[in-house]
Amino acid sequence: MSVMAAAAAALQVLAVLAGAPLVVGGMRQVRARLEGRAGGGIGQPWRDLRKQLRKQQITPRGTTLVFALAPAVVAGSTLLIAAIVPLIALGSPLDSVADLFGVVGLLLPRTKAESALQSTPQRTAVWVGPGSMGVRGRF
Amino acid sequence: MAFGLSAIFGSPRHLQVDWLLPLVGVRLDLDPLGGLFVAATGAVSVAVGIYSVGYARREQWARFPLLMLPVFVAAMLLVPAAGSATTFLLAWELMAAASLALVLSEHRREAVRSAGAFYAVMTQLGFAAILLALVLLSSAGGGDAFSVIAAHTDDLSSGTRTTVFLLTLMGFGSKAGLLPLHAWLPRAHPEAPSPVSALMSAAMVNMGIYGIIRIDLQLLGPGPQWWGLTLMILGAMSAVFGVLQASVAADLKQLLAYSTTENMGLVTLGLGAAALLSATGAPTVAAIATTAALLHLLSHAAFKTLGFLAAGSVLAATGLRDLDRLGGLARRMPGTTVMFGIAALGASGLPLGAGFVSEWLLLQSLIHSPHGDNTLLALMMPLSVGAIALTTGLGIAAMVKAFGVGFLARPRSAAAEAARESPASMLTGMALAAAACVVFAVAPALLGPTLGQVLAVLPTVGGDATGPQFGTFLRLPGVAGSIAPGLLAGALVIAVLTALGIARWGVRHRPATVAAPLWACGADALGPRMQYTATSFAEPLQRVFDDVLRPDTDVEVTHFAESQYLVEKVTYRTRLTDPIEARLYRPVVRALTTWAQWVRGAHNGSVHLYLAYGSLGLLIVLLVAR
Repeated sequence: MSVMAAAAAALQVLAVLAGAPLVVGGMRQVRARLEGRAGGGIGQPWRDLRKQLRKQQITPRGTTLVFALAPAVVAGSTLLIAAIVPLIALGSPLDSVADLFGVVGLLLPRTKAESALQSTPQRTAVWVGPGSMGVRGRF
Repeated sequence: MAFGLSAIFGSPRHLQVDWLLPLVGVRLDLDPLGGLFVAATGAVSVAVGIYSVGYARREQWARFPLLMLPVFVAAMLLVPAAGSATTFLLAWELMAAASLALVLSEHRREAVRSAGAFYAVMTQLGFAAILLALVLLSSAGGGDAFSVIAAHTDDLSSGTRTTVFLLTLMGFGSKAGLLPLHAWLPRAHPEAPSPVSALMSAAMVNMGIYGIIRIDLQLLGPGPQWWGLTLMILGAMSAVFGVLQASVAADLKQLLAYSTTENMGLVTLGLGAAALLSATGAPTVAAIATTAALLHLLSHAAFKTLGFLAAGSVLAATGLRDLDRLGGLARRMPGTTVMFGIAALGASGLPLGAGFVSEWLLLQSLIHSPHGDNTLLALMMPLSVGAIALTTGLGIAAMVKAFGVGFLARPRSAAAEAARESPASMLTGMALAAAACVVFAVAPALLGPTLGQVLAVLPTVGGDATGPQFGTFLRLPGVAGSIAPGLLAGALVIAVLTALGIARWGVRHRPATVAAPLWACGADALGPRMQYTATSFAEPLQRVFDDVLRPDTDVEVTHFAESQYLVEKVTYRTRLTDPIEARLYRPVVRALTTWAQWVRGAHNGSVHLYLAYGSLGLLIVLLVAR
């Protein structure tokens, strides 16, 4: 483990953090062009994020800590995987902390968090609420 | 527990008590392998004991179960310590009888009596198989003590070995809840009082595995390749079937009981892989597989104790086991919710859960097994990996269901709404088990020396092979793979905190956070009936595995008399039965009943006839023994 390795790992995490919205933006842009629209540009998801982060937060009544923590766990496990998986550098300092099974195992809590959310009324409302039957049909 | 630890690290202990049993005497012989099981049983009973103080007061237990509980624990401590076949059988039967008495402690309910009868028959059949096998073994081995038998195993004919192997596999497999002899688990565990379920599921089923290791792998082994293969197939089938039933079960304790079948299946799979690998000359990988099996056994004991104790708290607080009527307990019983969460995380085999490290070891040993040109190995190992992957995936679904439907969301019944948190002693008992779960998840290095000592006495491993090196980094000899569960946990915590920190970006420019009612898509308010239930959550799975589960579904539509286009009501009913039970057990029970009716003709109540039977029997005995 050296300074270089640590720097490479940090660079990897930052690249994933900054690059992930750009990938989404790129995909949307390609799709927009294929459909004959102008599209919002590659940077649009970043602009959306900036807008969302300035909005007021609402805590729904009747939810527990799980509801508040699940998004953070999902984001955190993604960051951790970004630090472990060899994307830019091979010798990340966290390299021997987990292998492929560890990474797959880290990906799985996301499904767990998402499914746990599904059984709270908030998510259920989306599924069974009267206005959303069309949404369900489309899926 | 202290005895077990001293047995692992100290010299082997012998104890001969001649006066207790006529002819042979009781012989206790603790070695590291037995010590591991004694320690595990001891640890489980400490947690259950503290829990029972509060549970017995809250449930107003009678004096009898309180008296039987220590007897049961003592019998379970004696089984791994037994040094001779007779002592082993004595302790085994004592354990079975005590557990049966405990299962029947609420015998006034019909369901309990039926479960008790089922359990009694299965456990006695298993005992008969073990009795027969051990009688064969000690008569062929030239002695009653295990050490004498071990010295003479080379003289045994292959026919005797095979018979003993099959008989003991049946007996011990039924105790460990392996397919197809698992049927007593999902019946007896839900009906027993919860501390007893915890003891049975976390400690007693281990004894089945202990029997398989001691008799089949240590005394008889190393066996031919098909022994390991049989164990692997049985284990994989039990694991997949158990988890499938768990994922569709709507009864909280039944779900946990099926999960026991699943985990014992995984342990057996590991043991079978170890036996197969050592028979094909790969002792290093066999050592990893054995370690994985033993570690999984221990971590299962930890998280299943916790799971059943938490389910017991829920049952004591609400009187409900049915997940479809629970919900919303996170607000009413926060302590129990956290405990059950830890248990569910452990049972689903995810990182930071108690079951992760052992399942990781098992996968590593299966993937890195050198198969050369052995078709059998090249075929079995990937298939087993697939079975474990399916098991883990379904296990997550089952545990998310148990936790999400049972504890989160809104209460689905008045009883769940009025739940009260358990008293301090129950929470303390659960906290002990939870601490053990955390140790298994984050610092398995603490168990490294213990497992190393146990591995050294197991013949499947061979003398020179070294097991995995436990440390901050868990490294495997000869295999390029390592994890550091502790560092992984720390890194994940840091990463989650980072994510939370990023989410606070620009918080100064935001208006203050407010609490608001749930968004109901414009409808008035959300009711508890709008939520997912355990049944509806598992419905897609039930649909996918339709051919295995064979659900019994009825949809009944009633129309108005005026017009058949208007529906008055729709009744939907679905019932899940164990397909193996329906296919395999019912014909046997029916045949037995027919025979019993036939034999009944001989019992007509006449004393003269009975006297004639007696004298006839005596005559035959005299003739034969002449």
